[in-house]
Amino acid sequence: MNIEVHDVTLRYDRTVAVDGMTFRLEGPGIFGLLGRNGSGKSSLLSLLAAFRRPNSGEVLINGMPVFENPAATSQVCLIRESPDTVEHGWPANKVRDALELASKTRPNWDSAYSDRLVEAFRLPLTIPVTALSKGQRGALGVTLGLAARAPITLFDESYLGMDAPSRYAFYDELLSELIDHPRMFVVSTHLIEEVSRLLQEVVIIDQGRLVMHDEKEALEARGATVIGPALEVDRVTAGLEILGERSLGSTKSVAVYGDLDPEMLLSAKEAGLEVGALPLQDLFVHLTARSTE
Amino acid sequence: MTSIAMERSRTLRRHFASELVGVPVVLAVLMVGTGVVVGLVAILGSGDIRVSGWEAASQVARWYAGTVGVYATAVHLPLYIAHGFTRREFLGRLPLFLVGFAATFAVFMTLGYFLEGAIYDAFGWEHGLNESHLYATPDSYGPIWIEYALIGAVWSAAGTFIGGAFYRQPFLGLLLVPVAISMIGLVEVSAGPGYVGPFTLLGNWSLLESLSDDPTAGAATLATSVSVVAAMGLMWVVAKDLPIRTRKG
Repeated sequence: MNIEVHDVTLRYDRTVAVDGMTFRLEGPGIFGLLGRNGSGKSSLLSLLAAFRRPNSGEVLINGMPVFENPAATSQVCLIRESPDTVEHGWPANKVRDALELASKTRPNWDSAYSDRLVEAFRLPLTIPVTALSKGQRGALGVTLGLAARAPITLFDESYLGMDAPSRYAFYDELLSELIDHPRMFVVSTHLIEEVSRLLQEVVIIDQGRLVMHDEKEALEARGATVIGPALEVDRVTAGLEILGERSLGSTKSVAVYGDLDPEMLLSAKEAGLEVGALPLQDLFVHLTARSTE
Repeated sequence: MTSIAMERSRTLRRHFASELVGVPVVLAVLMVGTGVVVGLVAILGSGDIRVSGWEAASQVARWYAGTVGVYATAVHLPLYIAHGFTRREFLGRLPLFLVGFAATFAVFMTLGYFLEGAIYDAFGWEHGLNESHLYATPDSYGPIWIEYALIGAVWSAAGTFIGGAFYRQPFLGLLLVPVAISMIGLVEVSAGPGYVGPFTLLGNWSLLESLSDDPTAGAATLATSVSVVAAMGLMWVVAKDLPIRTRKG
């Protein structure tokens, strides 16, 4: 299973939401789509799910054009922050109606799994979707997305309103689903620290353009975090591009960006400093700030 | 057709069939409401009822038919796209649904006249009509069915492109409202000169009326066919690549 985006552009009147983007994702796996507010994440996902037609370029799902192609659209499930479901379907506008609609329309729907998720997320079945809290809406979206078992499932910040225990339960479900029913998950989020451990590859976009696409480990290796006595850390990192620094007493942690000199690594080791991977969030902040400049 | 395509087709068929279930429910509520209003008029007025209350209530029924069309493209189409269906799959089934809707709508509109006639008989009231129609009396059930099938078809068909247009771009929706009114007006006038449903006072319909001094089911059916085909064409143009709105929170 794969997603291919070829030189895709999407405009809303005079605003360019997606600007000549090209990349390819090969599944199964969990892929992160990271971008600042208004960077074009939702627009890009809406193109992948054929919610919109690009102004130019092409989106392929498993090698097939996705727009108006039932063979491709039936393979994709996009869950947005406020899930698209039965809220206007009075009197059939309750949570159980939302699940029933999904069970009729999603070819791989797993009702037993859906029941288990409803229980885990404590979703009230008899309440109208519009009466759900933001967190419950998120949980409903997550349930609809996971139980659909679509080969390509896209979560567009759909779980952000959920409380921490529910979010962590969602992350666990994502991982176990990937193992038990291998497929592609694309997760767009601001909560980079929380989800980074799940991600196989990361796509970073800004102002509608692709900033970076790589494996997570490769991205984290584009820099390092150096921790130790402040004086030693400052000495070893002098002249490097510093993304951020934190101090606690005489201990300092500095995130640096760029290819690390082997001599510098040796020097850090000799000075007893700890050198770790660059946090994805620091890299993201750096890359998107640079892109904006 | 593959088994997956057949299953998807069945899913849409079930959706549209379930929409038809709403017709008797809505019209039953309208019948009860009409009965209450007629009863109040009888009690508070002179007690001498001379015209059909159901004929007046058919104004509300018309708007209901329009709403069914609007809902199909502005609510259900985006919902099914979000659940993995294509616009073509959904819109392709819509004309057949509108035919089914119009037929069912007409059955229950006719039933309304039948029930009203029984009640009027029981109270000794005169069951007359205020406007001209394809039917001369409220117990001409065949022509009544034909007229309301045509009205149900044109109102719901016009609703589909208006719903799609407003969903797509409110300004486009506004732009197309006069087109919808013209289509509906053509059918209303051809079914009964001098009476253009709720749009009678909107403009001068004399040109259209002069074409239909003596309304016949054939002419009205022709007018409806032209209007519905045009409405379906507009609906396709408006919705064939309908973008699903961005939404947050």
